[in-house]
Amino acid sequence: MDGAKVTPGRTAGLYVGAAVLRLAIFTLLPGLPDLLTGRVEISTPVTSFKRLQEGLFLYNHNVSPYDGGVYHQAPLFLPLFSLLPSFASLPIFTYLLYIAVDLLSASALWKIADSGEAGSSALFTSSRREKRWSGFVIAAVFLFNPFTVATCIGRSTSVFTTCAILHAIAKAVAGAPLGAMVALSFASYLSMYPLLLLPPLVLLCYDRQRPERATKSSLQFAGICASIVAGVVAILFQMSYFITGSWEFLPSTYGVQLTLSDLAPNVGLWWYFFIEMFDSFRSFFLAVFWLHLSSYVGGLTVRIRRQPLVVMTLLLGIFAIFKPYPSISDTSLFLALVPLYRHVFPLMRYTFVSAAVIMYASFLGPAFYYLWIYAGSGNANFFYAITLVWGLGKSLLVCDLMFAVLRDEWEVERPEMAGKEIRQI
Amino acid sequence: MRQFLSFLWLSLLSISVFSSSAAADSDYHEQLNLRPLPFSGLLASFNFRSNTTVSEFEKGNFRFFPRSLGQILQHAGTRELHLRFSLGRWDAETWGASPWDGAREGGTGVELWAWLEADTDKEADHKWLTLTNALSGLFCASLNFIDGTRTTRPVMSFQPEGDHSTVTNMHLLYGVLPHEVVCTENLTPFLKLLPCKGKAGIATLLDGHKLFDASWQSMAIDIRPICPPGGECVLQIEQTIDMVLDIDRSKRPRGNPIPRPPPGHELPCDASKPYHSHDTCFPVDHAANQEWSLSQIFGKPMKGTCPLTDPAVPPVCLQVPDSRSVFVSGGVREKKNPNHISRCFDIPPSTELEMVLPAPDDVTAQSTVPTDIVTPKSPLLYAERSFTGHGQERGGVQTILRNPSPDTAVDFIYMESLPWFMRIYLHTMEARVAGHSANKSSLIQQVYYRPAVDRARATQLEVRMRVPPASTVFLTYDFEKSILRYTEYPPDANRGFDVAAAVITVLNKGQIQGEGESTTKSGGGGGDGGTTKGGRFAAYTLRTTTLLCSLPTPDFSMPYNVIIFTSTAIALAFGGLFNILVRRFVAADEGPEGGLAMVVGRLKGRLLGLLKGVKGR
Amino acid sequence: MLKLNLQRVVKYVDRLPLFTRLVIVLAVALEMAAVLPWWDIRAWGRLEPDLFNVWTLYRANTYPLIHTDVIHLIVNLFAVTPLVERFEAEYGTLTSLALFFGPLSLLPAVIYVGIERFLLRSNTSIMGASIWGFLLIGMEAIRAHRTTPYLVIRGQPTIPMWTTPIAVLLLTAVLMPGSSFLGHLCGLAVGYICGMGLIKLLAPPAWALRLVEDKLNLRLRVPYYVSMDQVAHGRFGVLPLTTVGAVPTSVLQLRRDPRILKLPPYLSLLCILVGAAWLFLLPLDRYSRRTYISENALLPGQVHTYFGGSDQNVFRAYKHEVNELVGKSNAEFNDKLEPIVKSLGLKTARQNFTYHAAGHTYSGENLYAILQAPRGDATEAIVLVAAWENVKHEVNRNGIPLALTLLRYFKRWSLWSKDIILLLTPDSIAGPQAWVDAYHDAHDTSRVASLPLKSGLLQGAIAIDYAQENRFESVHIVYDGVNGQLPNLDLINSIVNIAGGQMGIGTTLQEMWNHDNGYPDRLRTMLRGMLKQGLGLASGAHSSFIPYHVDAVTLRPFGEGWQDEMAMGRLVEGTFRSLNNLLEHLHQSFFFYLLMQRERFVSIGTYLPSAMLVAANFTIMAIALWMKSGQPATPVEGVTPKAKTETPTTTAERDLFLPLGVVTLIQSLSIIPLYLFNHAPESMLTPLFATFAVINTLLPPALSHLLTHSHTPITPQQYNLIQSFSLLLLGMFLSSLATLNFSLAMITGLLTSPLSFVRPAKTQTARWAVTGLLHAISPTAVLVAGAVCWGVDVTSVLREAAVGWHVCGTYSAVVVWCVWWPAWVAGSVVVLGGRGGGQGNKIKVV
Repeated sequence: MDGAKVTPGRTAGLYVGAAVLRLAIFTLLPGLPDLLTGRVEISTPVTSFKRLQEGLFLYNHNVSPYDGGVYHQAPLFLPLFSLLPSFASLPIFTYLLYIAVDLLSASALWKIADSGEAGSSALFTSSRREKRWSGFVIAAVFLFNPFTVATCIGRSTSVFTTCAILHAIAKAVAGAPLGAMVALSFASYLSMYPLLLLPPLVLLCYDRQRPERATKSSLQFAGICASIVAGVVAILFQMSYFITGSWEFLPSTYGVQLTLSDLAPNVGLWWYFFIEMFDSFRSFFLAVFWLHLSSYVGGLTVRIRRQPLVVMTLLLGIFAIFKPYPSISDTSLFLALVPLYRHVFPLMRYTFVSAAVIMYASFLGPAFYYLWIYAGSGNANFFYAITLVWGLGKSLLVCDLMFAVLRDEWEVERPEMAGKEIRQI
Repeated sequence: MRQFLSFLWLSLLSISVFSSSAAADSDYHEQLNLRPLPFSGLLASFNFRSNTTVSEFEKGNFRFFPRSLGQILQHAGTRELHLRFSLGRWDAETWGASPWDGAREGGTGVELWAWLEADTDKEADHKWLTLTNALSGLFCASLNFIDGTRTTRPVMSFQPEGDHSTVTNMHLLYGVLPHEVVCTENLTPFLKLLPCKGKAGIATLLDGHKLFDASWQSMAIDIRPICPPGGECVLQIEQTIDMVLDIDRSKRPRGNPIPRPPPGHELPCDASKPYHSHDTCFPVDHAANQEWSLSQIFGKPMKGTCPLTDPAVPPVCLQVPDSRSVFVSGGVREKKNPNHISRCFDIPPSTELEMVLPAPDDVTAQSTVPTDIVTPKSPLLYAERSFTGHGQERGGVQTILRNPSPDTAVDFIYMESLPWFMRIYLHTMEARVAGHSANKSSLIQQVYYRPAVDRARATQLEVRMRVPPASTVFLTYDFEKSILRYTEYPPDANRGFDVAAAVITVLNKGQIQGEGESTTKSGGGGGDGGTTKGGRFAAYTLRTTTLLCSLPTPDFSMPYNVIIFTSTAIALAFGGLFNILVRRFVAADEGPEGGLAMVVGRLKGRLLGLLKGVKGR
Repeated sequence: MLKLNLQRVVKYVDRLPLFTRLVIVLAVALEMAAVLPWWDIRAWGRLEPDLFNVWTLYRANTYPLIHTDVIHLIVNLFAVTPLVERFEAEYGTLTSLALFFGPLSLLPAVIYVGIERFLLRSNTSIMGASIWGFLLIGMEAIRAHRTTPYLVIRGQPTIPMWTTPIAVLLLTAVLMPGSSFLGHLCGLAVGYICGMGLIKLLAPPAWALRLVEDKLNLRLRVPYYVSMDQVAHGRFGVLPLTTVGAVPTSVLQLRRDPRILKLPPYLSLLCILVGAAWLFLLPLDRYSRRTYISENALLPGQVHTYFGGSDQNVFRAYKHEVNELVGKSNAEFNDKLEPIVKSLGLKTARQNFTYHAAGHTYSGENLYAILQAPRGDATEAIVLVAAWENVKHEVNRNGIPLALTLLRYFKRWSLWSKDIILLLTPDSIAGPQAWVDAYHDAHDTSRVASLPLKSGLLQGAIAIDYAQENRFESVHIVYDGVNGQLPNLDLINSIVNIAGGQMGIGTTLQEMWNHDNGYPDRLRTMLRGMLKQGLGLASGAHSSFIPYHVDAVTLRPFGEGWQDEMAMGRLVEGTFRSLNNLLEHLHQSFFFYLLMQRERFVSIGTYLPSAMLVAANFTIMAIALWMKSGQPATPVEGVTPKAKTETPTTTAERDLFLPLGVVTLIQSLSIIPLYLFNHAPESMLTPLFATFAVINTLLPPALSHLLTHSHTPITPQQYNLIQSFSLLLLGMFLSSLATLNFSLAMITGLLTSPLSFVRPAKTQTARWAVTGLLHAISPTAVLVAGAVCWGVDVTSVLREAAVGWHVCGTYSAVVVWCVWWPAWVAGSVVVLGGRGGGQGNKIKVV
């Protein structure tokens, strides 16, 4: 399977297969999409499709969707989805849109994989890079990952963010800084947190920029990139302003993520914490949590300077744990990037444990949620405990991947240590 | 039957007209209407009305107008005020249309709406706050809890009943407390507002025990300016108490209210049954309408009349067919009304009124609709609201609206004011006619929707609908229950949260075409039919029952644990990551003695030192 | 850190000599025996001065091995083991045996008893190995005193060495109140004496022991035996230091450690055994608790009940009416009853429902009426259910008239804060289910009609199942819900309280008609409850309410007694008054419990560990197999430090795709039986079952043949992985199931536990033997066995399952076919997969 030769036939087969699978679920199990849309693991207040429909309805009836507590998503979704035929009458178009987005993400992933950036970046070349999976395998792993499928069926709008982020990386790897920055600003516009990916992405672009028109000074390059992002985001905000006719979408879209005013349960660590938090400390801890979330960017970017792609992967993994409103779609994005590091898998120590923990959590979570909400025989602590386990399992995976990558770097310095017992001091 | 009823209303109408004309000499009158209902119910509706001219009022010279209330109104710049205290539910299937066409009815709990004179919304809110706080003090009700999250500004449902031709900048605010339990402490201040303070007149019959043991009761206060053509404007306060008493429950002696099973021989049996014997008895109660007397029902006879009342208005009226005989104490003059279904009694002052209504002589009256009482007229619309779905995550609201009339469609406005933690999805709202699926557009004509804002504003939904004749319409929409901060839950969090009753205002046919501009002034119409019934805004008003919405609850004993656990999880991830980040790799066998062994060694050293120290002393 | 301790402990435990092991084993065994209800071993074995005479001399030997409780045992073992081990290492096993079961126990005992009896004239009995501990400390102290007489502090000698044990003694007395100071003192005294050389006299003559040793050749025969002659080498002669071997520096090394790899099977076996044994401890007083009412609002039995008197006449009349209707059709008796209910002044409505299951059609019409709370509004409601037929298809002759009479009586009260709904259903399963589904709008409108009339949130439901004609003795409370969900314990408690405390009516559970509150009866009640819970079928008209968080029970009078219908009515009245008091929905007390008597229960915290242990054993084995699959094909035996260091590269690359594919395939196959058995008509069920059984026997061989003879032959490693994954899935399913339906998880876990021990069989015979054994625990076999032992035919079992699936949404079938069956198939495939010498392990089947 490793590095298998990929014919166009297989490519088409893969995409068609994934599309057919999703279409089949949409059409054959008509109850499932709405069920999944209702699951807290998939739909958060900032990505729920049902809330999107509500916002759309209000928007089409000239009620400002942001003058209310329901709709917290980016304004540009409104014209986009009102261009589609109405979901009530012709849902098929919405389904097709979501499937297309998934396939686009997969193709971006494919490009990233085939570039081999994971194994050998500009400043670093792994000694084990031969052992890698082809883009086909990685795209397949992404497309048939149950989390991805569930997210697509649940029509959570986070798939757009996923697609934007993956395309940003793909562009950067392909040496197109402009495209990367535009894609990243789209992602940040949709759901804010991708903005934290800017530093590693800039580095990635800087490393991969084409020699013919390469900017020498890194500072200048970074400045250009940052200004591009700022410009694009500003343009997007301006468009949103023209669409909604007021700036009130800003507090309602990004303010909610900053202040966590909607405490709907999800797979993250924030909701129960801030339900139980004393009012006087609420703002303080909000600040602390955000600080914590952003504190990883600097450290990782500096320490793993030579492999910016790794930094982005790890950051996405961390965001999937510590975001205000995480869902399994963030996890699926992280899990989509992990197979790029096939070459360091042998160096990982807890793969089985973390995989088992994640599986256990993903089974126990719905059970405990049922006990709390429907059967009424369990209380909120049940589900909260599972979210803790889930978070710990994923953080274990992130740590393990980082350890493996660092060890890989270290072994390039000291080839004789390959396979030796090591220590960290 | 219908025309009988209109007769009845006309008769009352004539009374009220008469009174308003006679308002010159006396600006106060009171009246008690008694109406037996099926299944041994008795509707008693007390009505007290007093006027004072606006000019006098401005001068602060209140005559019959309660001073305490008047000052509050002046202070809060209130032009018109409606306050309702209600308990129980009006059983429309059995009792028919509610009294006053529902104009004096309120949803369970406390309901308040008023037109305030203010230039800006802020000012209106401020005045509203003043008003609610003052009223809560006056009526011993927690009206001060009507804050921003419980206040709405209806646009379609309510119209001022008084004349406000002079004022232009009026703001309507509407607040409701569904959880408030109405009880005696609300009745006492209510009676204090009366000129006779419940010492004389029909008010003497009002007794907390009986009132709050009633199957349904509603206390209403309406204050509105009325400008009779020609005459000068008067400020009218109307206090109404309607209650439905269960006759055999009320007949129980106060001392021993426990419904012990009666002795076997007193049990009314159906002897026609084959197995009927001394120890086997098929009961036949509830069908027959037994006898009752005023003092039995209210625990005491009525003490004379209030000397201030307008003598032209008979204080007590009873609505039974003329066929039935009524015994009253001496000196009381009975005069039957022309419509053969109601009679009124003129009571000389300072004579006790005792009234006895003997059981009907025809014992064959066993049908559920007995002929010995006035058959209640059926309401224009039946409404029933309930939750759908289960679980504490999401749910739906379903309202069943039935139009009984065989020929005329009903236009009405359906208003909900929901708490913010019920996030309703308007796009799921649909109305369908039971059976065949009619196109929705004909059902829902107009929607006014103001979404809730978390912790700041309640949802306000007003739907203008039309129900075709003789058909049932289901109005449904979905909502999501949001989980609150643990400090925002009441002490009895697991009981759930009360959701206020929906207000359904059936539009008057005369008004429907002129409905476009919603600020149509309607000539002062009391709920009692008013002087210009055709011009009245609402033909009929009804409230659904309140609902109990159970939200997901966190564990209230957990704050510290949650903070500790979450922080630990974060610390583990953070520590683990940065641990790997900052350390450097060495082979196992090189570098200084590190990791655990080092720690152990250090510990050993410490312990030895400690031991030495200990032994030292 | 873990690795460090673990390895040390493992080494140390490995090196424990024979007698020490014996002592530990005996002490633990006796402690375990102490749980036996019929034999109070502590009373039997402890040293009780007054009972100490020639006939009870055995106590002199038993008391050191008996402990007051587990904590005591553990503390003592940790304290004593090293000392005894040193002693034995020095004097040899035989000597230690002779000494410890002779003088070293007897002397302190005699001294202690003497002092107790004749000086203190009290009678404090002692037990525990600590006395040996002090004895040995004393000896050590004397010995140390010989070498270094004084603790030297700051140059000059201060404390004589031999006094140090006294410090220990005092410390113990202070730290552990309840420890017998005197007993320890005696032990210490004897220790001093022995230390001074008395031990030589006490010890049996060396030549005798040596004779025994040589004759029996114990040195070679008995493992861990410490010979006499090591005395020659002096103390610590041959004993390796506990700090032998370099401290390992990585978990990876631990992984490589063969001992750790051998451990898991025993560990998981231990898990299973402990989990199973745990269940049998639960009925004991120490583990179960008395029930209590935690919702203060209920106030059970605090109100007078007035139902009775002339209501009995009405009841008789209604009973006549009902008796006329026996045998009539559903619609007919609804037509008859509706006017009666209407005449009570209630709102009535009807609801039609039709279910199709196992080729049958279950249809009918529910009649229900709402008594509106006189002063309340429709926010909450309580339900009174009276089914026309109970689950045994007996006509509810008294229940329906009683319900009607009660409603008529309730109508007279004005104190109801909640509506009261009377629900009359044609049967006990489908009718209530249809009604509750429709009430919560969870119904399929094509089969079940919506409700025209509704009230508020349902706060509770009581079903009356009163089929028996004559007077009754006590009431049977049926509380099992669909899928093993249970009503809030407070509801059951308050009914028990009202019935017992107020009416003097007895109550029973789980058809234990007469329940002496003893261990066997408690156990039986609990096991019956677990079985019912595990099956997850509806056990009465109340069952379908519980999944909607409506606490409900069925009350069924039984027995010959002097209680009449009015008493039953008063019981219901009292219960309704209690429910009427409720301000909040019942949430305080327990929802997960096992009742073993009407006033004793075990809460989830106590019993869940057993199921979790059973589930955990699968996970342990899964992890172990994963590690094993990571090892190189020829595992290095007798691991040397060198072999240890070259770690991660020796982690053989695992080929995951084939095993994952196999497991996925088997899992997906499991949809087929699930669908077939739930949708086949009843006539087809038996042949279907037979054919499935045949296929079931053929499937594993076919699969393994496919695997072994495919173009890329499957490796042992892949077999390990297949088993690892299937066990992982099994463990995962079971542990999540344990939180939903404890009993089902427990039963399935126990039935599948052998699967975690099967290995690819080496020889042909072993292969078929194991396969046969596995077949004995295959779902089909167990189904047949169960059907036989309850005397029902398989068809009816399957039909019940199908009905439960279609009507109540019972998911037991899913567990059987989609959790148990795939795991079983995978296990069989693994067993059949071994090829000659494919790998070293034997088959273990437990």
